[in-house]
Amino acid sequence: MTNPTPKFNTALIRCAISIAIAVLVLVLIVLFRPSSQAGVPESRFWLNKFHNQYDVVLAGDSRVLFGLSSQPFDDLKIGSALNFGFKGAGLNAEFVDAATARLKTSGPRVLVFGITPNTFTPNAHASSGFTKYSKLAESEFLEMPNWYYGIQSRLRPASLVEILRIARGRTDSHVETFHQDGWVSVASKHPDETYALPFYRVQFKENKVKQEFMDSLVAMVEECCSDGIHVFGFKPPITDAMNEIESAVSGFEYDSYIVEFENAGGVWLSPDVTDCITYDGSHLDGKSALVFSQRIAELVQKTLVGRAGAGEHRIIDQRR
Amino acid sequence: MLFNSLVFLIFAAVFFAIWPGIKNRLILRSQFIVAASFIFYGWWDWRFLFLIIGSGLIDFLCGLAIEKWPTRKKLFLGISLFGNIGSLAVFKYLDFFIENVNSAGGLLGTPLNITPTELILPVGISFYTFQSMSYTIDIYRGEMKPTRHLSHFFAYLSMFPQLVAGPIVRAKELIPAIENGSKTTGEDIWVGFRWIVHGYFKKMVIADSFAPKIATAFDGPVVDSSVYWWLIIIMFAFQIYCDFSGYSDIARGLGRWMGFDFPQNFNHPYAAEGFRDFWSRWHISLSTWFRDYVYVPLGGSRKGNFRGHTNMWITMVVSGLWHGAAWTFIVWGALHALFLSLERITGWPRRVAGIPFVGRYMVIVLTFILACVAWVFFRAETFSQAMSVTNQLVNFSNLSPQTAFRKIGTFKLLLIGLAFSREAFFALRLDQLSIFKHPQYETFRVGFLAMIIVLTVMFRGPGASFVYFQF
Repeated sequence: MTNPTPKFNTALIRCAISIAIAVLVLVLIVLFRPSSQAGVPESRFWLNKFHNQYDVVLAGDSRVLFGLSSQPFDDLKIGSALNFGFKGAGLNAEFVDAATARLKTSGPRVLVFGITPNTFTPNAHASSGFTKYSKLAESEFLEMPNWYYGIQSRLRPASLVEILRIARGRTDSHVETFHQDGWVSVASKHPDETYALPFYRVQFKENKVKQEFMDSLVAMVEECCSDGIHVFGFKPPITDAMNEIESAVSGFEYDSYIVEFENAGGVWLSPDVTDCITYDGSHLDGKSALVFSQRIAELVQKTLVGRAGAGEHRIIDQRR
Repeated sequence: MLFNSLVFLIFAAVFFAIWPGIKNRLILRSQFIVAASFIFYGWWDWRFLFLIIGSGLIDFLCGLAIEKWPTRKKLFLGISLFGNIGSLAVFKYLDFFIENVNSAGGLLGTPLNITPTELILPVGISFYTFQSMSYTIDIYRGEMKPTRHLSHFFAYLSMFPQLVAGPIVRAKELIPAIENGSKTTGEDIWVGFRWIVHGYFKKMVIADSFAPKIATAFDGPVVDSSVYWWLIIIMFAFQIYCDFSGYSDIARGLGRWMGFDFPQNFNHPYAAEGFRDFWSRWHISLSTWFRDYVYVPLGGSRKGNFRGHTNMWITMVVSGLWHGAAWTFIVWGALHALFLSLERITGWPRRVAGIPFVGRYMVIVLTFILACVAWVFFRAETFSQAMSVTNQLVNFSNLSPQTAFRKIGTFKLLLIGLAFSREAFFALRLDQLSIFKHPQYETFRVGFLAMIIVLTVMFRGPGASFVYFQF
């Protein structure tokens, strides 16, 4: 038995059938696979973060990316705000320079850092989470119609996690909406506050926070303050279990760092987070993120009003 | 233009829509190939075109001159070699040379501080210069007649499927095919399609998925785990294999669709039984090029054992240097020379293969392990990094498998398993089973290829350039 050599037309038909079956399956995937994204097309979303100047820049890693909306800053008339959060970002000089470059040269000039242990780890400092987007050129993107981005989203590479979700019947459990202001809100039908715990349990192995990275941010805070920027810091809300893990394995202590941060001229914000819910133990659910953003914005406004009343730079000068 | 880009898919669709209409028109067909190939190549940087046109013109004219003035053929061959090796020397090796001169000056106490040129390396320069050189050398040797049509010559030199990463095609095989016209049969269409589909899968799913993990391992902090580094090096072994053989498969498939049969470039190298066998399966078009144009002219093994070994070492070291201007590549070539020498002297693959039942498989595994050790030097940025990774590989007191599995991740481990299974399939010669020759198998294959296409789209890794472009 041997495979006969196909005739020209037979070969063409075979190729066409193969392609047709593949296209059919892919069309079914596009039709039935839930889009994990909505809002601004993702490619444009990242590019937006490096355009225009704002009164307020909210900088940090994924906990800022998912946890802070600019809307309350607008509503409270503090000014225009940008979420400058990136997954896995480290708060190094390159990142802080890029964040301050997004601030307007006049107006309130507010820089808010979401401080997490991850932002001071070697992996985060070497991370491409920020740098790969900072190097994007405008020309790399073509403006395409929205249906194109819809298809692109549904044909995104699959992961084992997603396959497991589908196997468990949780196909539409997680939708990310990319907002114009740089915030990604998450709507999760099946939040699992223990989901990220195993990841964080091992994340800091051979990747503990480094004192030099923490000192470096303190120095940059001091420099920003002397440049007339109002610098704020906060701890993004996480679950108690996550908090325990990070305290135990990351090598980072908030209490002592807050003292250093404030000595450098920064203002530490401690809003009430008791009613904030995360979708995975580490990142805020979209609705909680809005509530949390409102509280952060209110505390920022209160400080700015206080400073305005006391004479813009007097408080900073006194601290120094 | 990358094969794994949308713009290439559009380009290929336009090309193959026009191709059937002109492939039977002698001159127009060549001109069309040249025009398309120049668009394909110029898409990276149109300035590179001047180099390929310039060095091509030298070889075309030298070929004609060798035929017209046979008494001066050495001179014209010299001009051709000077043009090709000269452009390689300037674009690829000059900075390496400067760097070493500076280092030597520093060691001798007379710092020279010559500024490197930092010239951009034109994509695929090592491939097309070798292809071009084989043209004039074959004419010099009287093995072929020069073509009188400039468009035929450039169609051979720049044919887009294999221009930037091979297979390196010999002029005496491809130019007659270009001149005589190509007939595309049903077999060409079907085989070409299969190669293209498998090529994309290898590149986009296996190689591209491994690439970020390997980059993190070599760019980031050193991980203290022997198992981790073995997994990384095994991933690199499959990344470079699937990346390069994937490209070759796509190139050969496109060639078959055009009616040209490019030579096989890879034949399951990780199923090799020894290093002689490995080099008859790995980058075949390059290893045969080095055999025919370096090893044999040096005397091969005809002048005794010692000269045979020396010639083989020279060939392998030059082959290492061909891959990149760095000492790590030279060490990689030298390591393979060492493995080949040991094999010649001891004949270990034959001896080990003689062990009943398991002998053959032991040879395959040992060859793979040694090839992996050599890959460390190929991938490492510096010699000291290569030594540090090698130390990790043999540091069996710190296996740390849990760290390794956590850092590599389940999906990549599954892919490693898939890559191994694929090679094991051929090592166990399962492809020879009669089921794969059954006429009904072709029907099954139609569905199987459709599944591969879907898997390629849905499990593609982050888009990346082809590794061998840098060579």
